[in-house]
Amino acid sequence: MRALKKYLSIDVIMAGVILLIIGIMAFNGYVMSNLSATSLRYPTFVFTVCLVIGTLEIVKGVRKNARTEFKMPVFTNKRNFFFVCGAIIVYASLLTILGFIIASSIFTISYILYTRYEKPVRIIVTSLVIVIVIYVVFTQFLHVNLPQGLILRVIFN
Amino acid sequence: MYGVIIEGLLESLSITNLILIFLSTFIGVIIGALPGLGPTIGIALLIPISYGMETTTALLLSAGIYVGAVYGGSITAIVLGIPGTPTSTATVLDGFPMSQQGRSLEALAASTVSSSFGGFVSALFLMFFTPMLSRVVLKFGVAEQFMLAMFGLSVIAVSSRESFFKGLLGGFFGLAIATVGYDPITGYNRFNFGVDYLADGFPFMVVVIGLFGISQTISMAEKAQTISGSTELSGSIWTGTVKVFKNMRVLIQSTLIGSFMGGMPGVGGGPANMIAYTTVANSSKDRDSFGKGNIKGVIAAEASNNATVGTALIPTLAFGIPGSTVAAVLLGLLMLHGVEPGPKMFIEMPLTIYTFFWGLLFTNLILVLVCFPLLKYFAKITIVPYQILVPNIFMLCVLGTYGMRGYVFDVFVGIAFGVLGYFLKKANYPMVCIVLGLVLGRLAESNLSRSLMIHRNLDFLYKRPITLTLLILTAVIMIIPYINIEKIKRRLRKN
Repeated sequence: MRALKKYLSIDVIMAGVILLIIGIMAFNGYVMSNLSATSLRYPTFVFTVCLVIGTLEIVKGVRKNARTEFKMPVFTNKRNFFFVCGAIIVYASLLTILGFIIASSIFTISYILYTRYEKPVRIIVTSLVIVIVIYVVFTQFLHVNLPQGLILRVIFN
Repeated sequence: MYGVIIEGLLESLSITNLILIFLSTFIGVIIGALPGLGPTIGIALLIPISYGMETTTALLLSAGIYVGAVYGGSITAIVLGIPGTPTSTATVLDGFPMSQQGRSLEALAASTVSSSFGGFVSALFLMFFTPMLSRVVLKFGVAEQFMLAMFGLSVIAVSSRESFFKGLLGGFFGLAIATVGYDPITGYNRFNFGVDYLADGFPFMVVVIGLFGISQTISMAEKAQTISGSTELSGSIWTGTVKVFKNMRVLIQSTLIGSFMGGMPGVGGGPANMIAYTTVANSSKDRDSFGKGNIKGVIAAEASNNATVGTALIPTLAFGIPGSTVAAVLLGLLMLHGVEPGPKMFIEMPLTIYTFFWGLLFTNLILVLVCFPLLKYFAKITIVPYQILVPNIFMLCVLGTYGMRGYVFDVFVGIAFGVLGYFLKKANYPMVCIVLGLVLGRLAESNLSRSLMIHRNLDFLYKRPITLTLLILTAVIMIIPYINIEKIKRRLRKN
């Protein structure tokens, strides 16, 4: 594992991720679907170029990593990265259940409390007002349906 | 004819009409600044309200909303790094770095003046050169449009000078993502894993909000500072305005590109601002500073996208063929009010049409009056601490991704692209290349396939004068950044 780590860097990993995505797309298009040659002509060209350049990029990265011990750190603050990613996924998941207003309020309050910003009460109140104003403007004036949430739907219906 | 033009001028100059234009421009700016909403939604919202209005009033309101919304997209693009509309994607590339340097006020002023200029010239084209421009635009067939997309892709060479292969891989990755969804020729669904959601491919704005907005929000969450890095702003509205006029060549060049591309049915403002940005970046001596906060990048992107507004109406009004989605909605509004597009329209209701043209022209001037007093408030967002900005920006990203189609799944797709964009940025992949691939992918594929159906082989690339010119230009632009002129000069001196 340590030997493998020596050759890996964010450059190599990301080139690999791109190739993996292209590979999954290609598997779906060429193996799982029954597409005509005409439909696959242009994607074949694009995927082939991706494959060639991606492979070159990986080889280049591995060779560079073998020569040097220093690698740029991926995260500036790992804890914050995982917190914000987790929070946004939970927020998006709760949108339909709790609705835009409640989910956004919980997300905003928890983020401000997590960052321990001074004068949190004032900021939280301002943010909540922004959430409500946005909801009213979008739903009432711009006719954009934002999730009302199951709870509010039960109360109002 | 000139009598009607003057009558239209006087009609549009009435106090009521000017107030209408002022208000609709303001509303348009707000709509454009909200990610996910744009001119199409703005005009679509106007349709039911306009039932009881007079035709001229409805048209003037639509002109204000159209111009305001196309410009409004640049505000969030510059201040937050999230393009408000697809037409302001290229604005992020230099606008946001300017904000990070504390020059948001300068960037916003440059964007306002360039948008106003681009839109004004485009409205002039619409008013006086509709027949001539229609003839030129018609010369651009599918082969030429394919080469135009290729020419746009040449920006990869400029954007990825530090790592050409990363830029190229990013560009082709964007092209690959753009192949998801139905085949533009056969109509078969490709690479959608049997999921109906992907039948139309990845929604462009969702991907862009993810790659730029959400990835930026995640990066912000890692630090405790402000966008500008300080609590004070440098630069001023005056500096930005002066710099626009000091770069007249860039302004005119981008306006002409935008005006021309706007007139081509199906091209629209997205590719236009990317291609104008490419052209300016490639032809500038300081091309290395593009993407790092060069004001020319903002001028090019903004002048060109607003320059598509007027000319996109040329095919709409002259032939009844909408040049863009917005123009299609506007066509609906026109028909609702009994205006039947086509040559007859200029004979049957000339006063209404010329009042609309003048309204469009004045909207672009009023845009400056509406926006200048607001710019300092927009710019102040860049000195707000990240702790406050992060949840609010993410909320805007959710609105942008969810609000367009009402799918929560769009929010998840945006988050996935956001996380991918975060790591790609860390690995120094130029985002512009990926977005360029996404914007131009469909345009390139559909036009290439059609060209091959017509010409049977790739001969059209060098047999048609316009495609040959574009091919040579693309090749030159791809090669030039890698030619070390100093080295060649030294060798020549030695010899």
